[in-house]
Amino acid sequence: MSSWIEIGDVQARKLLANYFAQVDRTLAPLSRAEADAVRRELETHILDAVAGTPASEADARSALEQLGDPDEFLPQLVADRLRVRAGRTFGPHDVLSAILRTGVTGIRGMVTAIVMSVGYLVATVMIVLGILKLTTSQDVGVFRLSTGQLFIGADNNVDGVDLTGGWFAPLAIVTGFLLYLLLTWAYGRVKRPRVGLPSNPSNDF
Amino acid sequence: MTPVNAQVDDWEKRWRKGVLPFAVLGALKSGPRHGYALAVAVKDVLGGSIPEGTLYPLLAGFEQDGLTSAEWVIQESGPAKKTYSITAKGLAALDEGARRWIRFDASLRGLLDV
Repeated sequence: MSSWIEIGDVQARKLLANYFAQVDRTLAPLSRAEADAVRRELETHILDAVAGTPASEADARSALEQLGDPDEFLPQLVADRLRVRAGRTFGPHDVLSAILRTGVTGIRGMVTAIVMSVGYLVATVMIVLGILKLTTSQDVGVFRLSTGQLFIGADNNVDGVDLTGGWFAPLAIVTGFLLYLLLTWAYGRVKRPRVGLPSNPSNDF
Repeated sequence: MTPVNAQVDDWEKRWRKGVLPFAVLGALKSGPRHGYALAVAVKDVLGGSIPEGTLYPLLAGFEQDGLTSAEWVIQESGPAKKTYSITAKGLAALDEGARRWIRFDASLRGLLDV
């Protein structure tokens, strides 16, 4: 950023450049516009913090230490933005990115990511079973086994009565897609704790 | 066994973290502020243990929840600054929070006998 020109000390500028390279890496999953906005805000924070000081290396170091490690406070922001984006676009790539980022934001984030992953796995299995039913019709479906139990899935040697017949394929595919849409809609609107120090699990209360 | 001071330090960090959203909204009640000005305003709440950067995910969350609004304000000198204002919804949340805090404080003082 051109504003670093205002910082006369070469070592201070080097410190700031290293810090903001780390900021850029952490913000990389966001769109260019979103990442630029966050970076600009952090840059003005630092400029304000060193204003009125000689802006020496020590001043820059102190301002950066007070601002904190970007890997500590930015992942939550990145995960939140990706989650909201996923809830808006419903794109599988956005959903996957959001889950991966949420999973590294502390214990709650990890639990949320696991729960969502299980939900998406179920949705995917339903869709895959629906497609399989179209290709290998007699081995896939909802069966009442000779033992009286219900079986949903695919099995070459299933011994039972197919309860859904040809309806299984559309039912499974539609159910899978609806589950995907519902999960993604809910995920984009879930309330997450806004304050966190994710490097220390004891803070995740 | 954890020494007493270390235990209390841990409690204090949790208290500070817990009241930070409330403090930030409170700091915005007197007028719009940008990130650094907010960090200065809530410095005593942050203490030395919570980095100022923690404010930014918090502020982004407030924006998403409609508790604050933000705009980039051009400065007479220097770069534009993202400036936050509390919304009507934020004020309502703050007022309700203040009422509950006063009740909570009274209950705790009774228990602590201070």
